[in-house]
Amino acid sequence: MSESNRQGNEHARELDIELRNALSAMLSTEPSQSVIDSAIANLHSKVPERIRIDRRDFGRRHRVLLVIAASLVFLILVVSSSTDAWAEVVKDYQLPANEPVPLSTAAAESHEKEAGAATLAPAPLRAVLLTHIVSLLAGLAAMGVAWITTLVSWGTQLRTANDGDGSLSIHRRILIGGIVLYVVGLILGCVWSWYTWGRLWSWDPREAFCLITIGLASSWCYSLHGVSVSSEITGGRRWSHVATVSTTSFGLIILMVLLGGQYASDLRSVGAQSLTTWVFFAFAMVLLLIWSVDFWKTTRERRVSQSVL
Amino acid sequence: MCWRQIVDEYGEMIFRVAFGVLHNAHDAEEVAQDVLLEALHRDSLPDAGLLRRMAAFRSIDRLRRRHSHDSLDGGTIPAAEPFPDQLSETAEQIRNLQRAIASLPSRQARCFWLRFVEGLSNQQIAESLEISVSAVSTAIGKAKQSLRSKLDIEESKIP
Repeated sequence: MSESNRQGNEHARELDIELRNALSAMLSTEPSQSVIDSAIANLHSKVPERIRIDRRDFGRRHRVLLVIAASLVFLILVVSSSTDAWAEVVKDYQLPANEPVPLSTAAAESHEKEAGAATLAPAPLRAVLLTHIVSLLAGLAAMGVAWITTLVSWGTQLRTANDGDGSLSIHRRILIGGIVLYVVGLILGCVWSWYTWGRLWSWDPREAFCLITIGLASSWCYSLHGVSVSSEITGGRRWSHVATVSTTSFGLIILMVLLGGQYASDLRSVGAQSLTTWVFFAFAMVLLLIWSVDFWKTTRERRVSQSVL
Repeated sequence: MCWRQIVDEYGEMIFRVAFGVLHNAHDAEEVAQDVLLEALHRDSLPDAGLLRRMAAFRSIDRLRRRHSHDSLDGGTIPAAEPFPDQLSETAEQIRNLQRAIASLPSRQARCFWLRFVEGLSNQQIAESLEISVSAVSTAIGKAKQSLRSKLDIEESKIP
């Protein structure tokens, strides 16, 4: 018997008999040798795996602030879009336009001649438009539901996120599904816009709102999941597949905007018609920069960890 | 010392301590992983006594989380793993004790453990937890009182 156990037994005499007996019974229970061997084997396989994906925590406070900010802006956008107030706000911040964008059939015809692409038949085009609208609305609804349920279970959500078990609750799944639906809807809208207006994107208030929505939803999803699967002890985090989904989807939309703007000059002349869209664009670039650095640091630390094992 | 050597040298000890508290091999494995990872992230490897203590504290925290989740779900604490020759009454006694320990505040549970399992004096506990000796005495007293009431033990039975 070790010295500490002997001293523990001496001190235990201060306890009530029943408590002492229960404590003794609990501590004297030994696992079988097969259980021990299995546990040691699992430790040998799981410990290095956790070392590889372990990293320093981004900072719980920063995540909380980001989620609060994203939630508030999301709320404002959802409310304002439903009452067309958004269009009024955007109109107040219009900068002088440089050149008008020829969003006319002439541009579509020009595109047809250059690309040699056949115009979509009206029926499929309407189907694309309908699917675009339904996907956007369904995605928005799902994100709204996930946002509301997340706020309701605020404390549990953050605590659960730190358990490190990687499981996703139902409202997280709804959020991810909503983001995917929304991105699909955006892409379909871009397709419809291409065949109708001759470009993938145009900076009108509704489209700007869509872009801001997906940006905020992705940042919210990332802040919850990209850094949330952490060890309670080590405070490390894991770049989860959820963060990959949110970051990739947002990156794709930004890419489409850049390509749809037909080079940077068009973006400057067309997209800069609204101060709000410029602010959002800057915000989006900062987000992508943060996520890129974060991903690079994750992979770098993973390579370093692997080299010392 | 690389992680393999640490697992070989201390893994079984940490697992045994965790199992002694949790009576669940899966949970004990996870606690052992957490403790080993924490040890690896420190500047110097903790000694066996500190590792044992870390294992016990993490196991108690795990008990507390298990208990709080079951309270929310309205379910029961998972039964201890069946092992041979265990009387049902003793198993029930252990489960009640686990539940009672899980309900203790963190400081009380740790002071209780260090006193009656590790066998430390109040002064040693105070130095370990970086609190005052009087705080240790108070925590231990409250822990005993709380465990008595939760296990329905009459105070008059103290020898």
